[in-house]
Amino acid sequence: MILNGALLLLLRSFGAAMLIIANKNYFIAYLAGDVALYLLQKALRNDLWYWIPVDGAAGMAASILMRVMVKVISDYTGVVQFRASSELGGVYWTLSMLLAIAMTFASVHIHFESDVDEAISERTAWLTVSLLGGAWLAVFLGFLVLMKKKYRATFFSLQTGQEYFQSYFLKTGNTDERRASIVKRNRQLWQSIRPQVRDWLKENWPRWVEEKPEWFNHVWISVVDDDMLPPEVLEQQNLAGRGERHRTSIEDMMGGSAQVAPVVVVEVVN
Amino acid sequence: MVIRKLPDSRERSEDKVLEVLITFECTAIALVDHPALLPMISRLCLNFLRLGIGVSSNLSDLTVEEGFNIGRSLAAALKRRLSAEAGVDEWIGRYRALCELDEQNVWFRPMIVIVAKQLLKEAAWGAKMRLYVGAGLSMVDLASDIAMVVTYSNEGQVGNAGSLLMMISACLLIQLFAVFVQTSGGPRRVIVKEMLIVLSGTKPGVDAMRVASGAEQNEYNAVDPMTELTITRCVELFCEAIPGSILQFTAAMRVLQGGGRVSNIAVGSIVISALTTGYSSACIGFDYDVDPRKRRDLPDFYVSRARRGSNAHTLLTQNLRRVTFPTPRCRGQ
Repeated sequence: MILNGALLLLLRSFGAAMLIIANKNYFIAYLAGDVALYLLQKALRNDLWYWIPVDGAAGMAASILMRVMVKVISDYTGVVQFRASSELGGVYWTLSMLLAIAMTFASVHIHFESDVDEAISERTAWLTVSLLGGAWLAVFLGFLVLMKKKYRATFFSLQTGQEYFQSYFLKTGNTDERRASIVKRNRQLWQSIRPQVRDWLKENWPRWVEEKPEWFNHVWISVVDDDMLPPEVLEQQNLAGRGERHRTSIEDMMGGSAQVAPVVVVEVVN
Repeated sequence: MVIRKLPDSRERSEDKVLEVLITFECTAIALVDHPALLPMISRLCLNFLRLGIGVSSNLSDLTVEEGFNIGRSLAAALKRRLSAEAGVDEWIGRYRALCELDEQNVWFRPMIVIVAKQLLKEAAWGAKMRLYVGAGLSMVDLASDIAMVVTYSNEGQVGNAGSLLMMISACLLIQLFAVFVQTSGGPRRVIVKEMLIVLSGTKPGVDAMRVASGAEQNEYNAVDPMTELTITRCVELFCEAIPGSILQFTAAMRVLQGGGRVSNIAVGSIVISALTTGYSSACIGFDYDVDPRKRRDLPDFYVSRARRGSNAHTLLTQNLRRVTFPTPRCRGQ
């Protein structure tokens, strides 16, 4: 894996340098276009929000920053774990790798087509990218060939981060711990199943209080939104927090408020 | 149980461990059923770094000496892994007898993880070493980058100085933003403290120490310490390592373009930078891959299991081996 990262970085950096010397603006345009295309497809697939549980403008800024960082690191070092649906996604990771390699060869071509002084001979340049590209491909193919067949499909997965995180909760057979962990992810990713999550939490809360599973701790409880807590628990929490629950919200600190549905206690009188 | 003459430290350790284990009914029963458990736990508590010896016996056939050998291999497993959980996971996965013990006794793994966390805190090679070495290297790295900015400026290479300065500034700014997001729900003194850690350049070391010491996520934190460490590593790759590599290549090309010759030192520097960046990126994947919680959450994605002989320094081939032979000694995994 070290070789995988090192070879890809050498190959990509060589291509980038060739393009920068040909025309710096070409490199900037390519980089901006590549990242913009990535963000656009994420936005179109409703998958722009990153899973870190931060809301509002700061959350969006953090999401875009994380998306761009992961994309660039993947392109230049080929971290295979970033093929996860919550990161680049399987298919996009694979396409991104192919595009990255193709762009390196294109950069060499553009360099010699432009009328700048040649830094190295054309033959040396092609030999360098071919050797580096071939070595990287050999390492990566070795990885693919030796890996168990059933995992190869993850390189072609179309699942979005939203679908993936919702499957935490929706997939039958998942444990309580796994289902409950959905509340630790950015709420934008599971907004559409929020009522189901709320009902399930309220229904099972008394059982967890009794059974005390390991994951049912103060950290997990602190990330559960107010409207998802049983009213008596919310009341307890508010009393403990002098009228305001301690929440993980950057919005609170910036003077705003987290987007939490108000708690309405309906008293039924017969 | 056969009583043998033992070296003093081992004997003292066994006495203390026995005192603790007989306090609880479940551990006392296990001690009676499996006499090898006492030397095993006593030995692991001594926490001496020793190479593990292969033991393939089942739990029922485990001898006292084999228990001793299994116990002494925990320290090495902890040293290889980033967290106590991952180290214990590798250690258990390595021995059939431990897999059986883990399956039969719900208390076994949590108990060993708690012991391992304490061992990591206390060991000279544990959390403290990661803090001092990691923080020290990060500070030296920051200082050397600043020195290079000054050198470039003095030599009239304004473009290179500007690029390097931008890289350092971007790295610090993004890290500041990240700690703000991470601690924004907490007290202001925590935010200030975390920001000072970033500005001192010791953030990677502090993050590594927190993971090694098993620090838990606070309720005001957005993510757990392991994710925070990964984000710090990503920021360094994104802002420094990758642009730095492109910058070095471009500088070398410009030298060649001007009819000059690129020194062997410059070529060596490019290759070493690529290898260290490759190592950092491999570590991101590796640490997630061997994290028991991640694998439990994503059984169809984190395909590996800790395997015998796995070692961070053989990372080059490890992922291939682990993906190729993901079946550990534990059944059903």
